[in-house]
Amino acid sequence: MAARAPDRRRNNPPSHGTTPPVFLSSSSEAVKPKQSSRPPNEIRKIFLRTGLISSVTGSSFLEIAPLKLSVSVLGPRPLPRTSSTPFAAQAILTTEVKFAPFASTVRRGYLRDSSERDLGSRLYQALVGAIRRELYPKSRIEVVVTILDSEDEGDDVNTVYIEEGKTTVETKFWDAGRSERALGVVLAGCITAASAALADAGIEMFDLVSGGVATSFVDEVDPKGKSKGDAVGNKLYVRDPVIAPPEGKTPLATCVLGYMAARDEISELWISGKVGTKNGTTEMDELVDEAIAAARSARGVLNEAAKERVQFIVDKTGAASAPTKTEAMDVEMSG
Amino acid sequence: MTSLVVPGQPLGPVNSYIPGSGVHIFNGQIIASLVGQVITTPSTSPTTPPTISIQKPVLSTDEETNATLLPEVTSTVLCRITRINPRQATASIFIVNNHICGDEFQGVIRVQDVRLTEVDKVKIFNSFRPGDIVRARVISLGDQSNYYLSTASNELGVVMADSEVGDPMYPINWREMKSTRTGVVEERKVARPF
Repeated sequence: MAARAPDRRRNNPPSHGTTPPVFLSSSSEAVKPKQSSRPPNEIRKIFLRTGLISSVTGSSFLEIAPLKLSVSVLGPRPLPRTSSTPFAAQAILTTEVKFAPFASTVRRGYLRDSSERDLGSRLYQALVGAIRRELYPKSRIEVVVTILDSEDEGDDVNTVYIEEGKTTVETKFWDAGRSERALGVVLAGCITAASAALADAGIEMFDLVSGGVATSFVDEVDPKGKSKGDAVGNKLYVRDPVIAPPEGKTPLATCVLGYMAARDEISELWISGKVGTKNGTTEMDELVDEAIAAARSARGVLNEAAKERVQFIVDKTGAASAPTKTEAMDVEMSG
Repeated sequence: MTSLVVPGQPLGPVNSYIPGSGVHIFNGQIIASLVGQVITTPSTSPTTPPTISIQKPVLSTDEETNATLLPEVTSTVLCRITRINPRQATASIFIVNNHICGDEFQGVIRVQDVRLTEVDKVKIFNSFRPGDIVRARVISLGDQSNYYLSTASNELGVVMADSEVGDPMYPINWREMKSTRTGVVEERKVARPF
């Protein structure tokens, strides 16, 4: 007897049964993530590897503590044959950032929402200047980022913060700039991983772009008196911040940037929050310098990850003539 | 063992090397634009500096599909005729300079580009049929959707074709091909066999 063909018309359940997921009743009851012991001027360890998806031109996978994302680069491929697309002397870059439905602490939908579109256009801005697009006429290069896990809390929270910028009664447990910190770490990871994937694809670039994030914090205001202006004195800059602010600190501003270290150029800059001037130096300059330092640290990992796959191929193809090393060495990649 | 470089890495001043492929020039320096091995080719004459280029190694030599390959003007391509009309033949390009491309590109052979002489007498219908495999040269990047191809050379034209009833044919002269089974002769713009 031939095996019965699977029923494709209905949504078949798994044969072994499933357990329904248990969710927390509300985000406010969520366990506060533990503060890491890492110093504020050090970024988290980055895991970055390229060439994991064989069906695309270039790919990469990045992990920074809770953040997990994969990048696929397709192309250069011919332009679609619709008559509406004009002749393009330079390659057309398209970027797409998508959170998996389970990637945020609040479940997301399958359709692209506003913060995903926003991240996509920021990623485009970060990468478009680095690619030598004039070498690829009449073609398009697609960068597709899928975020598998992050500290992001969903688009509803992000919209409240980005559009209204203030806490309401319902949003009391969120601190200001919380979503920017979560999305900033995601964007910086997207930029770094996308550069690695573009390098893996063999697309010519002027420089690799690495992403960096920094947040400035001040001492929390005590309810009796001190205003926020006085507390500005002792500021704490944290590179690659986690979503929970350090003990007793209030966030002021977050800066995310795409940085080309070899050319010392910033390709994308996103600052949100309060930045002012104090004793001649602007806080914005300090904040940007901190974010650049974070991006420089990420660049070291990016360089190694970009080389790793090529080194593997060199070893493998070299092994045919002189059998020395067949397996790629694992590289300890730390920020 | 040659060392690997990453995009943005300086390789040397402009006046000591001639830039090859995979590099660009910025601020008087030759900069890598690919991840790969540095290949320095010494020049033939002692007065000119060596050429420096970056090569990205591929995993196996069988894997000749080059995903970042694009046709450019003067590239020799192999294409399959998809549609014909009295003014032009539309073709799908699948090999560029002896490398298989990742995606097929669309090209057209206009009636005036089919052959070099007696251009007014060319009939597309007597030169190509849908399904023919044609060796052609890119003469222009064309418009937004088509590369413009030409077969106006002896070594360019139909290299493989089936007759109207589906038998393979072999070339008997530069304008005719003969069926292997029935011996029926059909007209084509035939490429000179190597």
